Amino acid sequence: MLVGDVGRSALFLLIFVVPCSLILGIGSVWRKSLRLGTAARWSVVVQFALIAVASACLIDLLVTLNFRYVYVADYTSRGLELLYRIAAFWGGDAGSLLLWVLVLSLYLLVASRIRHVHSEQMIPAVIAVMSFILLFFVLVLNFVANPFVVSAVAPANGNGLNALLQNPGMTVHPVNLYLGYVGFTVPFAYGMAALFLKKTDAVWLTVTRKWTLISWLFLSCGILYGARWSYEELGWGGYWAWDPIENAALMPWIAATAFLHSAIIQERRGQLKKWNIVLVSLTYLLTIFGTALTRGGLLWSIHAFANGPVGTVFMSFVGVMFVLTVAMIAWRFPSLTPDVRFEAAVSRETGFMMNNLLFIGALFAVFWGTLFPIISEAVTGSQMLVSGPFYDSVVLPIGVALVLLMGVGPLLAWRRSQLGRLGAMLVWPLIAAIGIGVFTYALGYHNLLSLVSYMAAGFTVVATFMEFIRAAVARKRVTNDPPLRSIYRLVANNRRRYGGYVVHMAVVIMVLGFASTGAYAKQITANMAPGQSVSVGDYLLTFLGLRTVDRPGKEELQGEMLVQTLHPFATLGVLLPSVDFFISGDQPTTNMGLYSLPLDDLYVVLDGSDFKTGQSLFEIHLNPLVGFIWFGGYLYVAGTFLSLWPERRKGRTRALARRGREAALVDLADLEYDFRMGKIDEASYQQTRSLLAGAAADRDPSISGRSRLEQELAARLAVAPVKGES
Amino acid sequence: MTARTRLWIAFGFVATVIVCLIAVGVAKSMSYDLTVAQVLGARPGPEVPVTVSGQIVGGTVSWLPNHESLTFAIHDQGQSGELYVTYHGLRPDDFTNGWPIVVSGTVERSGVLDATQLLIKCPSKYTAGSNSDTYTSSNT
Repeated sequence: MLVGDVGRSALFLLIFVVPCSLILGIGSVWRKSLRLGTAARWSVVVQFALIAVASACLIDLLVTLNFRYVYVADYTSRGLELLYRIAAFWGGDAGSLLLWVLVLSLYLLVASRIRHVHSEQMIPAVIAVMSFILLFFVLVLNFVANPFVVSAVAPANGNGLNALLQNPGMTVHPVNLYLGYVGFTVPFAYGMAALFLKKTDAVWLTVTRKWTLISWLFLSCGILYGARWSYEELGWGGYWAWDPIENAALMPWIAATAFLHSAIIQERRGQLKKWNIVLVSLTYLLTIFGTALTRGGLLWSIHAFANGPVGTVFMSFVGVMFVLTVAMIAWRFPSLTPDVRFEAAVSRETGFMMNNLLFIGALFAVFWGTLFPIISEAVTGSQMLVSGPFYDSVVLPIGVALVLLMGVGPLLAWRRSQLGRLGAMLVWPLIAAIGIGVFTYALGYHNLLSLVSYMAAGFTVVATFMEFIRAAVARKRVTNDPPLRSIYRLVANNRRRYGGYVVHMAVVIMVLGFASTGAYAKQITANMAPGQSVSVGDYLLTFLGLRTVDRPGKEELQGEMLVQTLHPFATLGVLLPSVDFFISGDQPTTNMGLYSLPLDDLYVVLDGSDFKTGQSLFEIHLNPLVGFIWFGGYLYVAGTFLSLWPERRKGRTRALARRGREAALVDLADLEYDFRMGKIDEASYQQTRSLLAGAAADRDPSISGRSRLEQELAARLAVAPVKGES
Repeated sequence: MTARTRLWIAFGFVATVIVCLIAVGVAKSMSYDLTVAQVLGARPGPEVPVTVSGQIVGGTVSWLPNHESLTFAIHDQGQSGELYVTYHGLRPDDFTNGWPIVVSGTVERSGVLDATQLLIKCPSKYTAGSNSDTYTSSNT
């Protein structure tokens, strides 16, 4: 009992410690007291220590199978592997909330130690916001879903973890989602702190960019791994069902992706301040709204989540946070004025705005579809719902438009693009897109949406590649560096940009997978006797017979299926779709047989068998390019890491000196690239350059002459002093 | 025309397209979400797509693998009225008595629901015990 008592006591103490952090944070901001700020920072350490103790205690109870505790009895059992006893930590409502709190307090601990130009004022405010959020979770853990509740009589054995959840995915998918969901609290708290303190320049965005990117990466990995887990484990041949619970994870991802793009505009140009604060708030609110949907049973889902009181409590919290956030934004709205106005209708800035409009359109569609049962009942009195085809018909076309924009966006110049020059740069991507369209149509792929997706993918790959080559050539011209060195330096000095491009290419690869599986997946059912064959696409599958294999705790019935290709005729191997029959009497579960080739997945499910004759029913899926989705996922992670990798020049100084020389040099460097890559003509270049050079000199009196400015710019470009086009 | 005006026109056009996509998408894929009692009471015609939530009545399940024909009844929790369902496709794993199911399709004049899609709970976190099953099945 001791360990459980310690855990329960630690949770209880948090009821007092977290409000202390909240009060100290507010007090420090209110009185502008460094002493209170320091005390707030230390209180955060105490918070984390108590939560870590409670978490360690729960893990100990789970590992030692202490069935006196209801939570342990509910989610573990004798014989459950150690890995899944630990995974049971987040297997239930109470434990998963404790994990949420653990991650939140860890993030708060790290965030409270970040130093930047406004840290003395902002960090106490961040502590106050995050402690307020943490207080909600602590109260829920103590009074609604306490993992340390003891039962009167300890059962002899626990219920155990569902057999299908005893999968390595259980250790990856939920944890990634939590790390992503909780991570968005930090940029939200910074945004609110910036608003309260009227520090509405880009510092809060620059400081939290990595938090946002890392949280976004975790959420992306969680969603993608969940899709793969579903594909490989559940035996239905798909990976996404547009279920409310799946949508609950997708919505904050969409909002966060829009935010990642729009934040660039504020960091670079001091625009979209209102929009960014709205987006970061929306992202955070959607994470807790998604959690409320997941826990509340508000909507019917194929995922068997709980219908307990936690969902209701969470929904109330969403309401409170929504009202407080809207009030804060409304209060400080006048302070969110842009530094400069948009100069032209076509520019890099407006490209980002179009990107945001499309993302928000997709978000609204998913939100509308997910909540349609509730909305329709409120309006008409009858509950109605929309299914997968609704999302496909709205979100997929928007997705194609976004892919096209990924190709066009990098070709746009900052401030003002010239349509003639933009058109000239789009010629080859358009030719490539038309060529791909004609080629795939001639091959017999006539589905309109997939055809357009392939064309958009080709367009964006060529446009991005040409943009990269242009930049490398521009750099080589002025540096005379060897080509490989020039490319390396170009990427190394602009990791954020080229990391983003790698992510774009990953998304294009994934889109090829989505488009192909959506349009050209084949599914047949075959009732086969041993020795019979069936062909699917270019593959011949021959049923060899049934066999049984004894496994610990279960008997596995396997159907042996020989896989051969028809053109050329060759044997690939044997697939073993199977059914597990559990000694415990649990319902049998199917295990699909999967043969993954670079361009196809053969996916076979054993659906039923006659043990006497061996006659068996198989469901066979041929899923084209599904592997592209998973491969694209790996590239996506690599691109995000590249984007996260610190640049040699401290990017942080850019925003911290937004109105200083550094910012002007950044703008001048981009102008040089835009000019040398042919995005703007010489007249525009000279006009903007003289403006920027004048501004840089005005902002920093130490730049006394033009030659000094040229040297600074040359250092930034890592080139010889710029004398115009060479 | 100022840059700002041109921007608003472009964004307005894109937003209108998105709203139209949503409106058309809803009109095409919308179905009524009903309980078994509501279906038995209202008897919607075969032209009305419906989605019905209920629980499987174990004793009524008939599965003919050779014809890939699944017939079963569903009822509301704690209610006696039963709605018969036919489905042409594969029987989901663990098609057991009392388990929640959502059936989409149309109700024939005979009163039998001709299902195009079955949705059965998937095992997920937060629900204690090993009593949850999984499947998404569709012959659409």
